[in-house]
Amino acid sequence: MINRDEQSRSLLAAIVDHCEDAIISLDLNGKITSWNNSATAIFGYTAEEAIGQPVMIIIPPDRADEEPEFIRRITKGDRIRHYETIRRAKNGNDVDISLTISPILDSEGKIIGASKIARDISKERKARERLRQSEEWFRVTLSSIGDAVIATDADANITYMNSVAEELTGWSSSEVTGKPLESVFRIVNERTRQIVENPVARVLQHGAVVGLANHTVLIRKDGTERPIDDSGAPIRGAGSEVVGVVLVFRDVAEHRTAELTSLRLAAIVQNSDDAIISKNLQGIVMSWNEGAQRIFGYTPEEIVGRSILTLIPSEMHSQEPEILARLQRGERILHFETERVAKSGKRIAVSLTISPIKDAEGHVIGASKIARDITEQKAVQEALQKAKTQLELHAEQLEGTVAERTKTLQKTVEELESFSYSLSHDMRAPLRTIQSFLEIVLNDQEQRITGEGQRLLRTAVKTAERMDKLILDLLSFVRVSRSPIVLKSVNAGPILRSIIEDRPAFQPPKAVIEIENGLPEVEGDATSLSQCLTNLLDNAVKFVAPGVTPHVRIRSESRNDRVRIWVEDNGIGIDPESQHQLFKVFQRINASSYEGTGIGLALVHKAAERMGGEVGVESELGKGSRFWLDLQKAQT
Amino acid sequence: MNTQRSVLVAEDDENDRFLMKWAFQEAAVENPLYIVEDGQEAIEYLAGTGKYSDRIKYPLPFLVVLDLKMPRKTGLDVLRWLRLIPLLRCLPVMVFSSSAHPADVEAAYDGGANAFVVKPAGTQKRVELVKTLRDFWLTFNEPPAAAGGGLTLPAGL
Repeated sequence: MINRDEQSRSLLAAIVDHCEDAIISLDLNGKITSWNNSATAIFGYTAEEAIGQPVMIIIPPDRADEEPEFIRRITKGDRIRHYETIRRAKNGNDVDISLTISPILDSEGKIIGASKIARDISKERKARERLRQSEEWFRVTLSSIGDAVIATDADANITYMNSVAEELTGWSSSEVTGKPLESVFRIVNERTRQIVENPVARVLQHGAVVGLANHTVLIRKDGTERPIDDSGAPIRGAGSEVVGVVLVFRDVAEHRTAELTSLRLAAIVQNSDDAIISKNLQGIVMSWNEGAQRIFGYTPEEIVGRSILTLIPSEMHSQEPEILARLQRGERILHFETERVAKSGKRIAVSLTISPIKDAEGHVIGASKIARDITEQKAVQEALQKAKTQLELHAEQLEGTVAERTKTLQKTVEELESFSYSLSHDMRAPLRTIQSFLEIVLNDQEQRITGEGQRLLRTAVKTAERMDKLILDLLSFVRVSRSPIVLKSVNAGPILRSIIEDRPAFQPPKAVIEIENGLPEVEGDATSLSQCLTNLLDNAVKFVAPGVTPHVRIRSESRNDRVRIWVEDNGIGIDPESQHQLFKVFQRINASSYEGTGIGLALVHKAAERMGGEVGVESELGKGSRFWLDLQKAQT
Repeated sequence: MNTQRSVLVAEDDENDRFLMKWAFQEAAVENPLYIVEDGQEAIEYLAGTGKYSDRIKYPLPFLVVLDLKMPRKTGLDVLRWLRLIPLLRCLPVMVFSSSAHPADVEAAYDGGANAFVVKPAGTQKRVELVKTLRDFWLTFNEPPAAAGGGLTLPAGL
């Protein structure tokens, strides 16, 4: 029995001695009662040095409060487990330890002390700190890199998302952590709109890095879309098992736009009607569009790599070095009209615009040439020039013709003049004779002629009189049309009064003519104005119903820079349908009932026209007529 | 009323000549009326040459009435000639034309005419006109010295 107890005790002692943790026992006064090898290793005190000493020798002063608290709790029967604290070694170094404290009981179960197991956790703590720092470093790195990063666990639930990913997806990290990736990272094909398989799923399935298909569009939280480019990679645990996936993606909108722009430019260049050619500084053709092929006949295969001199007529080869020199200085050559040779040998008139091509550093590395075929344009220009010359010739001829016509016209006018002269002399003379002789016969032979004979003779006299009047009117019409007039300021008032004074027919009792006071001055010619007014008054007093005394009112009306003179009568009026004929020569509306030559109003119209005026009428049958004459107000 | 003061009329139209004579009778104008048939004859009369050298028979008139359109010499020709002759250039001249063509009127006054009258259409007006001529030119008007004189122009004119 004793042996077995002995054996058992020595086994325990061996365990305690070989344990990696420091094992110390204390009595209730805090005095060290046992101290194993590891305690020596950790704290530097030997068992001899430590046993019998208060435990305070290994407690830093700032932790002195801990011990009475431990004892208080131990005496209550509590145990203290894995309490992390710091103790001080003999050499003064602090040691990170984890404490487990248990009460020591005697055979009656009374607490007589405490055992402390102290594990040195300095290394562990340092490792933990390093891990923490390393994690922090990754976090900072991930959040500061330009690409969006999302990490998931093995179930494709989001564990991390950097700020670029937040910005790009529109979701915030706190919203989505722990959520399935699919709910945040939704991607479709740009063209087909088909949902693209999530790269995380593929990584999890294949355990390998995957790239993304082209033209992938990310649908953001707000529904807007961003073209992206992405890749996924597995995160492996210590046993190299896949514990998650890291997804890296970026916005390629800008890149895509640039790509599209360059594609568009290429299309423009390719489809341009103009030849667009690039050459290097040695004058070797580097690119050749369809326009170039159309104009010059060479295919790109035939010409690219050959000298630009192929296109330049031999006598112009000397121009090329000069052009290259200018390009090298960075100059542009605009709309330089020259000739080039097509594959067929045909000369082509071209307008060239040559610009230097520069590399990213701004060095001139070549030149682009835009050549426009201006053969047609040239032809058009020549035709135009020819047409212009011809036109000038025609104009010259025309001038000659005009001069000739003017001469003819002049002659015609002279003839007309002599015609109207003869009209007045040669036609009126016989008329005068007829009229006068008939009158003489009527007077002298009255008794010997029958009543009917007398009536016929008198009608003949009247007819001759009318014919004479007609000739005179016609003459004055021709004269009004012909004679030059000078417009000056005239007043219709005095002219009207003198017309009325001259003619008994315009005076009471034959007629009443009222003239409104203050007729304004007009731009006119006294003779023409007098002719107008005389004729208007003639008509006003003539065309009245039998037995009616003509009553005429003359007034004026200001109309902006014009004056309208109204001649209003109480006559028989004019049928509106006939009014448009009134002012034409020989138009007589009331030919049967009233005498007239049909020239009066034509003369008014002509005279008004020559004064820059207008004439018109407002009338209805039976309601009188209101003739108006519009003239320019006199300039003050 | 001085019935001795004569009038010289130059008129190529026979009917107008008749009408003029008729009007003198009708208006009972007693003053002598000498009528020539064209401008040339008028000049001869006024110059007192040829058959008109007898100034007693053909005295210088107190009024010359000239038609414009006449053969050989026109009324204007006569007028212009007349105004060049110192002895005759003061004689009153009335141009008597079928029309008041402005160019004619201007030319007549420019040539020295004293009056321009358009031939009236009817007989009544013509009679009135003749009476007016008598009253004004032959009665009230103060004639120049040459009028009625018997001077003959030197031969060759």
